[in-house]
Amino acid sequence: MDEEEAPPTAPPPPPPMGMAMGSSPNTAQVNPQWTALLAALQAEEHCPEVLAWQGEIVDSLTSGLRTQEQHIEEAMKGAGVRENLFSAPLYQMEVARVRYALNSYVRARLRKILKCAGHLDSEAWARLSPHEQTLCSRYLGLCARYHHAAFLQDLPPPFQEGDLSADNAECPGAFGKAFTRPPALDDFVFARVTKDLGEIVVDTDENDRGGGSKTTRLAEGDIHVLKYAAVRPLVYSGALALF
Amino acid sequence: MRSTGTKKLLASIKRAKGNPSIPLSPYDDETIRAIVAECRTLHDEILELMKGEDTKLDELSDGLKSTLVIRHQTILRNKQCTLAYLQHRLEALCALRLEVGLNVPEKIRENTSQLEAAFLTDYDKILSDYMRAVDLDLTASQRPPKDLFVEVRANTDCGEIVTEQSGVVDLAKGTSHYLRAADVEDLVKQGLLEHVG
Repeated sequence: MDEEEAPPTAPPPPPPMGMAMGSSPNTAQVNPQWTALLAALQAEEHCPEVLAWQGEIVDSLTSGLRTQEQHIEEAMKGAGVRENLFSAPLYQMEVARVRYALNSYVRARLRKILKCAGHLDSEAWARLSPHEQTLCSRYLGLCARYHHAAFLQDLPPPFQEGDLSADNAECPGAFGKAFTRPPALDDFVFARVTKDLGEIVVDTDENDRGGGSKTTRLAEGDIHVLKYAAVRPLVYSGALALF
Repeated sequence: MRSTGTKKLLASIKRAKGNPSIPLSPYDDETIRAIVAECRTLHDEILELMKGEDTKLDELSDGLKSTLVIRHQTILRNKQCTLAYLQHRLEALCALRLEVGLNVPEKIRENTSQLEAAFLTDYDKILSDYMRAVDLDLTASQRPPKDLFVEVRANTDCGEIVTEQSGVVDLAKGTSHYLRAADVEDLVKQGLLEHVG
């Protein structure tokens, strides 16, 4: 993805079409929400587990998109259509880019939620948006019913899973664990350090014969490949940015 | 271990992973039936060996205990492998729903079982509700947008379509058009149109 060319985006400039033609490229304002969305998207795509839902960013960009689309539509209807014929596609392209990034962000989360649906503990559960929670528990219930109908009901009674009540809105039931996989927390991730952290334990392998844990100095701007499980809290707090 | 059924199922998952163009092989009902039958036989054997469920485990000989454990573990393993097989197929279906929408290609559709088709319908409801709630069409814009307009050629007679920007376009077979990418994304995904250049 070409972030360098990241378009200046919503909140949209005032109609018609905003951007003053004479402004130099250096003064173009990049919406901080857009940069934040790109960071969230990258983190989400490379993190083995679901991160916190960035509802604020998504909401503000979605409403920004809608306003921008309205502006474009109005500009293409009004009397000044001829002047806007050149600039409108630029804005439409920008809208398409933001839409793609938003969709990818939500899709990346969805993929992980479905994959690990049964293994979301209460902490992970709290990181989902309310809509995602609904989706997740309905999905688990659906899967459980399917497995029961397709296979489990034919097994001898002690091996059937009795509890199919994963449909309630609480944390998903235990049976979900049987058919979904836990997130691969031991995977390695690329991380950029966003602030000085000093010596950090980066590997807590208990089988290590050294008996101890490995530490590494993490200075601002460094890029490391780290075991995700060891640096989880730092990713949550934003001290490490995954990419 | 007696079961070759689970081996077959696991091999099928592996094959599907290596072949992304056809993520689902035909539903292997026969093998699953065989596995269920095997589990029942094993369970019957366990009950027979225990001579009723009241027997205390401590009173059994070590040999008998290990026989019981092996039978029990085999059932559990069969169950786990079969669940993995079924779940893998469900996930492939869910991914497909996101990728191509509800128009599942014929060659994949004929590989699904009835229950799986029902699952897909129900999952579609869940996903549609979610997409409505977040106000995003997740099946749209799957690739990073490169150009606003694309040149497409019609592979089949699509008839006339109404587009947002370009008005009504007659997509007769063999004709090529320069259209808004967002307008024709769906048709390209279904293979009715083809990108040119």
